Amino acid sequence: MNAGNSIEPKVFIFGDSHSTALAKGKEKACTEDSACAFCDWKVVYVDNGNVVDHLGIELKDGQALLNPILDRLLAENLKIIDRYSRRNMLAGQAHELVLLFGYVEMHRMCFNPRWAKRAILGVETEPSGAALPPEMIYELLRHRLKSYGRGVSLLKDLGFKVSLLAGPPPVPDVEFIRDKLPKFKAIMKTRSRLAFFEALNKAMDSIARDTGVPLRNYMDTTTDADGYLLQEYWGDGIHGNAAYGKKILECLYADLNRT
Amino acid sequence: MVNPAVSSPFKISRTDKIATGGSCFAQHIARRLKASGYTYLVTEDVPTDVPPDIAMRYNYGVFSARYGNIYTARQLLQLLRRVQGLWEAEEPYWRDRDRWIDPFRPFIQPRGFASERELNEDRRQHYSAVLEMFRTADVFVFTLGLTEAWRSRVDGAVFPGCPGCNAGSFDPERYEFYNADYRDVLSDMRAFIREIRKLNPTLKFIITVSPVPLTATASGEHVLSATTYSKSVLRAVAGKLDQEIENLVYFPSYEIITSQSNRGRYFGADLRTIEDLGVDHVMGAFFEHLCDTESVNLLSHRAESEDLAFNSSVALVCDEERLIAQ
Repeated sequence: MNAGNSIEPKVFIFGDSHSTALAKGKEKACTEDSACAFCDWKVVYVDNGNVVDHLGIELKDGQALLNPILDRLLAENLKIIDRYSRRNMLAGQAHELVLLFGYVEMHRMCFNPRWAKRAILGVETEPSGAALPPEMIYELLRHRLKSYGRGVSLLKDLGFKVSLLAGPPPVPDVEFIRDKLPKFKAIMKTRSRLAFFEALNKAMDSIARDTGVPLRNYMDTTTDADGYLLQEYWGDGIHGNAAYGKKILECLYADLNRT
Repeated sequence: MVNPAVSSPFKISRTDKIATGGSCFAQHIARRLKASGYTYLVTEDVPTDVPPDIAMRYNYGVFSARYGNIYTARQLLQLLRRVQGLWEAEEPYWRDRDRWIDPFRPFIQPRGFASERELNEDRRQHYSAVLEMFRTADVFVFTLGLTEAWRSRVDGAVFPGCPGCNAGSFDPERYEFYNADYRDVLSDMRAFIREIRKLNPTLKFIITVSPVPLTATASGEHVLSATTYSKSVLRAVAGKLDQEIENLVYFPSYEIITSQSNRGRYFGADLRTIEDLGVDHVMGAFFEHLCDTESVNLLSHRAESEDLAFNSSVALVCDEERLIAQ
């Protein structure tokens, strides 16, 4: 894909470990074509959960503070020397900031011994004796992502064009996950993992609507009829591979050009 | 401070598995037991990293299982029979637009269930958890709350609230008001104890009567008279059970809270809510008279625990208050 005469937004993608798939996708695309549209994009893996838990830190006086880790990364990647005057420097530049946080939340539950034996009501059919109401899972994720929503608002206030990125869907093959990730002894049942994923994207959608930013959801292009990640995109059992990352970048590119 | 002595045939140890059920006052007992280092039995729970306020909205940890408030002896007896598969109500659910409501736990989670299947699965695992609780508990603390109930004309199924009051819809052809008398409550409690001891022969009971007055009555009496009637019947039944049932003790939380010696100071501004001071008094006597010495000593060191502080800050689940909100 070549940028040609189309719009060339400066796109910055920050995220948890799922952003590594997009980084691999960018590398793949840029290797295949050194003048591709993604060569000017930046994909930065921030960390695996601490930032999303505290993206917008609420202070005692009710004020909110952007997470200092993200703040510093933004400054470094946007080459802003004076971070405190960032608002003025960004005016008119309309940077597209795409966030891919939150999916670590799903893994904390789906690959956690405390949660692994859980099922989701209405999803699992066999007796498990420990299914939880799906709406409670949604509420729980909303609760855990409260700081995330606060951070998104702060980024908007700083002048960024912010959007949230959905995904990736779960891999259905538990044996594949065990093989790739032997350290995970406890894995939630496949259908429950899918239900968690759906609840998480619903929570993301809710944050997007509350903060007035788009949720970019390209799951239809990477999933099978049941909603699981297509095998050609399987990476290490949790994260998508380079082909997945490239696919998402292409969807994002098309989407940004449309909007 | 009045401290009515209780002669108990047994003492609770820290290792005894204690289950609780009953009206909303029983939630105070559940919280204090949990916060005081006793083995509070919970057979239907959530992972520990679920925030308490979310868990509570879905009625996890309010009691030993997610049955919500059990106000009447008949409701308790029918629950025991339902979880064993001995009886099932004719009315499996109520519909509220696109939602499915469990008539026997109408407020167990916000807005009920998304589908009939979800409700049935939840009910199946709930029954399993309640059965496990009845089978494995060492002590069951039950608080008798009301004599008044609404029941099905079809099969006598008793509901925790009036159909149509925030859940379901009222149909006088299907539902009727029922105010149990002394013989009814005694008979139901005797049947419950007889039947549960078939599952768990060594189960011990602590019976209390809720000191919380009625919010409203459908008896046609003034609510003051209706409250006195209800509490009198329940107190008399509790006394009778204490006299005749082995390993069952009546604990006078009702008397401690309502005694004139306390000059009404244990009631909150709404004259219904029991203040922490009153709960402290009740539970102080509870631990002193019903628990072994070692456990009482433990309590004195844990009285200011964070658990207790948190639990006090979260409101009780009181279905009756929905009547005021309507």
